[in-house]
Amino acid sequence: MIKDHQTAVLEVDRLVTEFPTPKGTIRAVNDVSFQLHQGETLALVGESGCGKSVTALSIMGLLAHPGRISSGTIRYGKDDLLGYSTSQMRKIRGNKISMIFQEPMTSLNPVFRIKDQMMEVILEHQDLSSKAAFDRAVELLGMVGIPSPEKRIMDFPHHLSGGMRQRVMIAMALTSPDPGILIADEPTTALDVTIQAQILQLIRKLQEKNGMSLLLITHDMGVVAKMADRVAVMYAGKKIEEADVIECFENPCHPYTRGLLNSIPSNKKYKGANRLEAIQGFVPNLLELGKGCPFTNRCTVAMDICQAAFPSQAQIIEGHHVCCHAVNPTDADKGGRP
Amino acid sequence: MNPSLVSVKHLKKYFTVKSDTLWGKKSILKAVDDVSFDLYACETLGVVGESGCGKSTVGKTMLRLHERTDGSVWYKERDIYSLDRHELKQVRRQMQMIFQDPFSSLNPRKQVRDIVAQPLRIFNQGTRQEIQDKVDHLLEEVGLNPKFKTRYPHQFSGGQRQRIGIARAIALEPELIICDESVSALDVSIQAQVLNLLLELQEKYRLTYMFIAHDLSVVEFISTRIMVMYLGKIVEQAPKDTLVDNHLHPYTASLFKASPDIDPRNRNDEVLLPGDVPSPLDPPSGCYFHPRCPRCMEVCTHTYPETREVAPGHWVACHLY
Repeated sequence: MIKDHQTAVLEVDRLVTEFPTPKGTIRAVNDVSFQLHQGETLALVGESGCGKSVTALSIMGLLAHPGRISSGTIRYGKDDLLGYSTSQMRKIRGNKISMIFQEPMTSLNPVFRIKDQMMEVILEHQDLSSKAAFDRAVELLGMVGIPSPEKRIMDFPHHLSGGMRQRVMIAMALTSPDPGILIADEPTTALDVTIQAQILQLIRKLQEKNGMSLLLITHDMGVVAKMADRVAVMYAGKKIEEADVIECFENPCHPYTRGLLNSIPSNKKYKGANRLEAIQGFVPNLLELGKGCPFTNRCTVAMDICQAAFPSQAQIIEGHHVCCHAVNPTDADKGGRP
Repeated sequence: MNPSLVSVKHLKKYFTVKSDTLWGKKSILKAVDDVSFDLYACETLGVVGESGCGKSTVGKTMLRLHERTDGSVWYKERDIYSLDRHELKQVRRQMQMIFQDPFSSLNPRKQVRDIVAQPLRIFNQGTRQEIQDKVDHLLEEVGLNPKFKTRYPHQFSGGQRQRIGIARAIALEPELIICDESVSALDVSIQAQVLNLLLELQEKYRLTYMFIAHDLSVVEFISTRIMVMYLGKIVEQAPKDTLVDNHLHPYTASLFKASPDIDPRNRNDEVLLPGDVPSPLDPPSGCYFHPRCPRCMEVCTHTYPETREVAPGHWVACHLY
């Protein structure tokens, strides 16, 4: 696998995405920055409503009305994607940056054959005859492990099982001869576990083959452990921790990250236990967030200052950053635990 | 071991499915196909399997929410399929269900206090005031503030709605609760809270759970015994520790292999189970698992294996054992 952790292929800087509602403006993504490097897998983790999917849609320029990006930059190569026109974005989308969505049934058009949907993407970006585009589509379906692709390509989406549909989605995302970035938004959430394992393995193999960078959006820490090189944890629109995958699982510093890992019943510490160490309370309403840390009301180590101001980012070790008042960066040699 | 509370014997539930074409033949979907097991008092029986394996149908057929096709379900020495309406009502009082989707399983037009009070009213559990006091108590019991009882379901989050469903299920102090994917729709931090709540209630009220889920890690945590289903049949059944450490059926093994470990150092790229789950409308010949089975033998292609008890309480249906 080509991994170059120096070159950022995608750089999201201080992104703020807002949704105006009659009750006030919701900041779904609030000042989020991260970099995606050549050939690596960055997992964006968090629970529903934390802004991970909205971050992906912001990158793709697919925000639904009335959502808007109110500040920040999304740098792709030398350019800021936010300054691109619609037609410039069309050249990028599905070509240089592709996306796989969560629900393969709703992301494929039920009234068109797989053939038509795949050829549309290919012909949009590549100067091929329709015969060549058809052959390319068959080749791609074969590559993602669909048996007898030349027959299946004539099927409608409802003829295929969930796992097969997700394979078609992946094939469609990889039509470009040089896909730079793949954004996978919960690619396996709707699938059974044996099928999930197949799809994850497929994504990993394809990534090894063509060296693309993967932005993996998921709520499932098991998927993260299997796939990611680095992890960014989001909570209520904020990025609260970022680290190398092993560091994230073995030395989580933010109380939320630790709570998230403790919430997983297959955590080895629960062997023979009959209670989980659950995070109390629930995710706050994004309309009612104050200036402070959004996790304060559920946090076991909250202090007065947590209500007043969002903590700045502290570095624990190289590449491990956390936003928490309880983490004192000078304690880094003790592992940075509060 | 505790006495058997529910005993399911050779239970079958077939559905007729219309053909795609107007004059085509109807086909038969064997959702549950000759399933036998016991549910012992105060245990948690986990039921795992992939979508379409019939795990939910077993739960519903046990409560007579679906009528069976064949077989029997014995609740404390009484076949619930031989009961008349009034007797069934009394038995159902002891057997409750918590559903998967906390959005569609609560009536959106009713206040929470009415949702929770409904079973109490149906069984005439006291005066209005007594019922309202009981509702307050139940809401506290599941970790909800009783002052929210006049709210409607849409004003609660998914986790809170699931708590309302639990309050309703325990209102009549049942003996058995069937949890059908009750935590699958919840975020992991909320899921942990609800699992803890279910465990607390089990200790307090000496409940028996049948816990149906597709997530092996959840089932592994909460269950005392686990039953694995594939295409309407039970393929393996054993006490939790036996099943986790010493599972025999190749399907159970691949389920365990496929569920992701949360240790990023342990990324095994072993050979995965190939193929999709076959359609239950047209199951393979012989052992239903044989087309995907890494240890398939000649006999597997034409004969369905008998279920054998390989160790006390450990049942497996596989020609290898």
